[in-house]
Amino acid sequence: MPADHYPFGLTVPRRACHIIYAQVVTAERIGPPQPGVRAVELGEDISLYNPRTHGVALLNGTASDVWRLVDGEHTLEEIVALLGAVYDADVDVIRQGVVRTVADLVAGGFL
Amino acid sequence: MLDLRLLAARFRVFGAPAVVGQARRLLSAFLPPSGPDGEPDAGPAAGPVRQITVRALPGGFAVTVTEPGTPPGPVVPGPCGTDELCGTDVPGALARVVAALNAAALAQAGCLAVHAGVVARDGRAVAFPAGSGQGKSTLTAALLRAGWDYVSDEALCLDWADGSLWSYPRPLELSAWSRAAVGLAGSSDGRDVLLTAADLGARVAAAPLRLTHVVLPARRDGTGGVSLVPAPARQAAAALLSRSFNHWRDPARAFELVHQVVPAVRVWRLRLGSPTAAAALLSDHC
Repeated sequence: MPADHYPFGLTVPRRACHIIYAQVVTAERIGPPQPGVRAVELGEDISLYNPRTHGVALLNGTASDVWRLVDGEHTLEEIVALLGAVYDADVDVIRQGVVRTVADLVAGGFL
Repeated sequence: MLDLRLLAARFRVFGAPAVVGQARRLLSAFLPPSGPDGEPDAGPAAGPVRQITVRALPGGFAVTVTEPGTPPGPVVPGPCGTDELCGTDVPGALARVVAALNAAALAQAGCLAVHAGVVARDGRAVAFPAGSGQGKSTLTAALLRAGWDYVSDEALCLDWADGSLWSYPRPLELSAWSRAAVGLAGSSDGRDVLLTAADLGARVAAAPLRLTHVVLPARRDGTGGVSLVPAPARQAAAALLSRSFNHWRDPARAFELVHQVVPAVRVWRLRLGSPTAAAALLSDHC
């Protein structure tokens, strides 16, 4: 199954993402992280370790910003709005990136 | 007979004198220190000994690895067995001995071992994690020729407990191209040759060593055009984790250890062209 690279810096098999994508778009709140997931700051980036699967995700800057907001307190649109205030990008592009990143994090068992 | 200690694992190599004698020179960095009685010191962790037997065949040699606790087979001439690595001559047999030692040492290593070349200067170590065939040994040789001390051309070893850096100065195996690229004379038959740090005019790096740079090499071609640019720390973390031989032993600790080490190093991306040009660039920046 070929992996797909998303602009927010994670890799996940494409098939898993189609199902998770719908879940992300319809969720009331995004997050919180799965219990036991270890998050470590590495400069401005964040590294994640999943003790259940021994999986690792090394998030780039934008994916790290998403991670900081998936605490179970924000909706998808709130996250998009918060990132829109920081990034000089079209809100639809930001929304697409957030959905993909969150879907990747769910597929990896981090959320 | 040759008693060796590689990455805290113990080995005994015995058999054909022509091979064992040359192995002693190539692997002198791994001879255990002598105790007060002049006998080899077993060391604080005197664990099981893996035997490597070299026996003569008609027209060559056979190399057998025997697991600890299993009596080794007799060293008698005979055809190559199915569990043996067979070489046609002394250099071939030596290459197989070194390969067998390497595989067994990495499998048993008491450290987090990452596939990387490592050199040092004044106790500060530079590691370049990369896969097989990506130029680690050639770049290592070029750096040794440029005055760096030798840590390893195979593995960056970080102590599981405290992250301290272990040396693993196994013999470098250089192709005819690699030897020419770093300005060494080639052998008449064009075969790969095993060389020690001393053969390259360098020393084995002395402890203690501290990792200060991680360099991520990308091959271009052999004609020049090297470049060295800063890279994000997460790329070093990705390289160290994905290139590890044995992170599976303790995945959580491997993750922790890498994230303990990486924040303290500078990370670079190196576009490899000529190995000697790359060595000069690294010598200026690291």
